[in-house]
Amino acid sequence: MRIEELDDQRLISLTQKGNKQAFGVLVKRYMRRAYYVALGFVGSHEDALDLSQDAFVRAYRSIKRFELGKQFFTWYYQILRNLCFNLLRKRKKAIYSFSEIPETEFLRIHDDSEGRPDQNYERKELYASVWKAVQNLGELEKEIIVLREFQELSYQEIAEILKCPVGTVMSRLYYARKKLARELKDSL
Amino acid sequence: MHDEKERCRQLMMALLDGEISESDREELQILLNKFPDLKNESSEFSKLKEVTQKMKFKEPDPDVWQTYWYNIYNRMERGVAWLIFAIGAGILLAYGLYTMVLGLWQATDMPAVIKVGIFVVLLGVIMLLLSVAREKLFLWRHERYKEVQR
Repeated sequence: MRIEELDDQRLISLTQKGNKQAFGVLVKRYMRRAYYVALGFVGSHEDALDLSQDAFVRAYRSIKRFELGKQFFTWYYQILRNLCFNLLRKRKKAIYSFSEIPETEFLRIHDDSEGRPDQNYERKELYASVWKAVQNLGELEKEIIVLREFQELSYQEIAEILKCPVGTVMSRLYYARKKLARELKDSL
Repeated sequence: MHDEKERCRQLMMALLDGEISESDREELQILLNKFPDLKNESSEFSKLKEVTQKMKFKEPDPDVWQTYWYNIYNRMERGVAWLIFAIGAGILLAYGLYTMVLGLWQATDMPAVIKVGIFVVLLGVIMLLLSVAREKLFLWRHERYKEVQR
């Protein structure tokens, strides 16, 4: 059997014995998901790339403490989210202006409706406002919105990642969306 | 009452995200009739959902994925290289200090006051280095798991 065909647990077990190639397979399996989660949190391509890679390096260094039988991504996610939150806190301290981030340039809008140029412009503005409002949410609110809306994870998957009941996921989504809707009252 | 309202909020989300069962849908209808204020919120959430579900992330350049693991591998290796470098530098520094102290101690043409002054300066530097090392060790012991456990 080729190493790429092994399941996560087997790959982790090999990594714990010092097999870097096995860890490479794990990285390639989860790199996209990791990058997009980070992008949702920090809103910048470079930072998302750097943080998701840094989280993998830290995961590798701590892999001996990983308990086999658990989900790799759930464990890795805890490292990644803390790195992202740390960066967001640093930005806040440095009075990081959102305008420094190229807004929505990494967003792909699935809007098939055709309209006049001014309507298209308005729609673009709307998407930019929504993205800005998401970025201005609190850490936990942003997290739940990113996982549901941008990662399109099911409630069950989110509950597993956040280690909380599905009911809590739904409640957190409600309050995050309520805050978003309030922020965007004039735009929607 | 409070629990019912919270349950209603949760079911509103489940409906919005298409994760509601038939029995929950019926329960939601009953609860929405009980809490008309929440009924009004539903339309706001639908509008928001309509916008957010059109927003997806663009795929970055294919190069990003091709070099992704390579960059991580380099960082992993660099960590080991830094450690080896630090150990080597530590050994050289310790030897340098030892020979310097020995040379000073054996120098007969140097006034005692200068010797004492140099020893005190060196002692201060060593104490500072030890203090920093102790702090780093303390942080490593107490916070190294913070990314994993929180």
